[in-house]
Amino acid sequence: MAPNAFPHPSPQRDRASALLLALGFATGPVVLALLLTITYALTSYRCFPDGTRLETPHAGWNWVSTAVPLMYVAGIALTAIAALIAWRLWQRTKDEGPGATIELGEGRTRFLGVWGLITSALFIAILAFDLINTFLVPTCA
Amino acid sequence: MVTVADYSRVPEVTPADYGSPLAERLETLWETKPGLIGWFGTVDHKEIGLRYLVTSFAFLILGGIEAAVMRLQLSWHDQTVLTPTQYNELFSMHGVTMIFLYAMPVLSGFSNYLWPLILGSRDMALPRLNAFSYWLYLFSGLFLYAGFIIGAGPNDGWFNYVPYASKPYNPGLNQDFYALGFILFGLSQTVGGINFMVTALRTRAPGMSINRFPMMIWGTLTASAGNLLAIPSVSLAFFMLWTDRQLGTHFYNAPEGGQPLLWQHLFWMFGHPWVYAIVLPAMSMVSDALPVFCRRPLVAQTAVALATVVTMIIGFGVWVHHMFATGLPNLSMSFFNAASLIIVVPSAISVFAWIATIRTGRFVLCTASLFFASFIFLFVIGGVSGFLTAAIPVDWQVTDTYFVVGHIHYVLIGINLFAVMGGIYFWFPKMTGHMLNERLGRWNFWLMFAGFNLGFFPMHIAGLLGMPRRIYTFPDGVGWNIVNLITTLGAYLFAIGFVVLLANVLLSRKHGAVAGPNPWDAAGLEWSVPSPPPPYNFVVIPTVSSRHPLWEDRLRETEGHSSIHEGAVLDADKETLGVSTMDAIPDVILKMPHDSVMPFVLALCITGVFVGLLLLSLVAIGTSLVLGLVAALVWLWPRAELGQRTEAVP
Repeated sequence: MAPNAFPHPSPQRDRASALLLALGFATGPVVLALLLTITYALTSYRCFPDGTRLETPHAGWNWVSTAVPLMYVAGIALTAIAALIAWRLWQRTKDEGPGATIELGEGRTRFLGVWGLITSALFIAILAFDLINTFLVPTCA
Repeated sequence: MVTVADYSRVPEVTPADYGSPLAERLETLWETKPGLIGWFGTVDHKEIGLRYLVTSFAFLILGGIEAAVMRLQLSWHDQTVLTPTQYNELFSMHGVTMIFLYAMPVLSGFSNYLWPLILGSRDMALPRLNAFSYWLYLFSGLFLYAGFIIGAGPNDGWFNYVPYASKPYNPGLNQDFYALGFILFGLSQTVGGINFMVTALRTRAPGMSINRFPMMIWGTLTASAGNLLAIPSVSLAFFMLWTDRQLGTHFYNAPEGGQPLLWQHLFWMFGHPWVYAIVLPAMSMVSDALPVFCRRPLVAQTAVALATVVTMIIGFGVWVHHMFATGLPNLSMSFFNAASLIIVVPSAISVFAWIATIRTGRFVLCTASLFFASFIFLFVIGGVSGFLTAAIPVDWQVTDTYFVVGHIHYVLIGINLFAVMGGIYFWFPKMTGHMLNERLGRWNFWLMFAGFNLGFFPMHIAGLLGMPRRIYTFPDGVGWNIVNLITTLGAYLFAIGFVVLLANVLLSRKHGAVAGPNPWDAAGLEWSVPSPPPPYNFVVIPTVSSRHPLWEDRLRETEGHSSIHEGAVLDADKETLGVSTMDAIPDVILKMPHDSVMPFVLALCITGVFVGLLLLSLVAIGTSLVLGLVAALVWLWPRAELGQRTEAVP
């Protein structure tokens, strides 16, 4: 008996491309990393163009007030698309193995589909928190 | 002689046991040769794992002694056990020792010892790099303690903020020892992390697809990936600090246009992921071991594995919560506030999964399970106090108070040390072949549990009473006497409990009850081999069909059946199987390197370079570099028997 003569761990791997599985899982974290870096820099520079913090935002940088929430809206939209992709992949492969994916985890393809779905949901929550902050928190206080 | 053609052979698949001629042949191939050369040259993952464990425990004891002296100083007002200068060095060295020299290496010890056994492999993927990582770790620890012994140890806390760490305020060698010692330590962790990642992704038993990873693989793999991304940040920070101090650069020097806050950014970009790196593998040890004492698989393991990975990812987006009191604009901080609050969700998934596992299983009461169950309790306290400080207004109230000291100790002792203690009771039989004494174990547990909570919970109260951290003494009449006395008594009770562990280990390693291969009736592959395991781990490479290979008959989770005692025979030389990353389909026979002293020699030479940098000695730097280059060449020289060199065809 050859070492690989056992049931394949992902019998439905042909139903979900590796690229889409990766997109489902990684979009949320990548979007958050980019937005955190960019928006932190923009909102900080607006108040701290040099050594002393300004009472009111730096003149000429008012566009930041519009751009930052829009960036978060776009980020949420992208991550929602990733969640949708992950959900569809999971639907296509949800009978890949016995039992519930969340418990047994049998079926590598559906395992990654569920991971993408949960991760996207969690990162949408973080991005939504950040979006709300852009409306409620004073910029340079 | 093995030829290159052997690489592409299809291995024979046959049943075999540990008393067979095949096992004897493998023993000869894999055993470390006796003598000094063998001792310095071994690349056996079990030997290296034990060295990590022993060395990290030695540092834990040193850090504990430092803490004991500090607690005497702080037991009552106006004590004079230590001078302010001595106290500065002691609390800094205590932090450096516990957070860097103990907390991560002890987990590397468990992972080094257990990973190939858990994964169904013969060794780590890069055995010589493994040895190299250990030696660098040991030398970095000795380097840092050399400074401490001559009175030039780190003296600005483990976080080492500038400007106090810069030369005008700190002219001695203290910060140079710390900066260079840490970069050396970072090298060790980086090569170790690479080794863990390659091992997890390439050298597993066939059939162990990523969805079947044991939790301990997820924990250490995640921490390793995190370290690879985080350590460059702090290595750069320390290097710039050293150039500021020795070469006159001004990275952190405000009057010359530098940015003191740059240090805090770079340090905490590393520091917060590091905190997760030193708890996630420990949490995963609990996730693997606790279910054994509940007689059922971990509840929602898929979600717990994801929670481990996601915690690390979000952990890279929370570093500014260490800087809430530095005057950054509110909106900027609020983004990190959101991530710091949401990170509770994956942590809570793990907590609820552990509780549900206990609630729905048949809990077996013993020392190991007591440590694991108490770990959950302490995790919640440490987690909730951390969650509180994620809220900016609360953080402003408790920043730089003993509340934060209480929090960090619940995190590091509660989530790291208590998991490690349980892990020792659980895996000691596998490592030595003997059980730890259960009666001593109960004393060990209750003394440590009572002492820890008695000693460290009052730190929260001291903080709320306004006691600042990092003070070497306090005046009478401010209301901090009783709470500090209780903390000192609790800390000493905790230390007594730890001494009971040491006694138990010393007594039981030779005289404990014989363990046998699977004393806990556990499910993982490591319990299918003898205790202690032979140098080659598995006579034949097993094939797995589920997450619980040894529980398949009772769980009936999958259609397939794991094959433990029948599998690929790999005995042409030191060999193991290489598999595909996702589904663990075998695709190559990997030739594993034999023992070599070159990792030791190269680590010694690199340490020599750092000693030269400390002394600003070009001779020492140049000599060490040349010798190190020779050692690297000898280490990496292509070998015909490994298929790295082919002879010319006449």
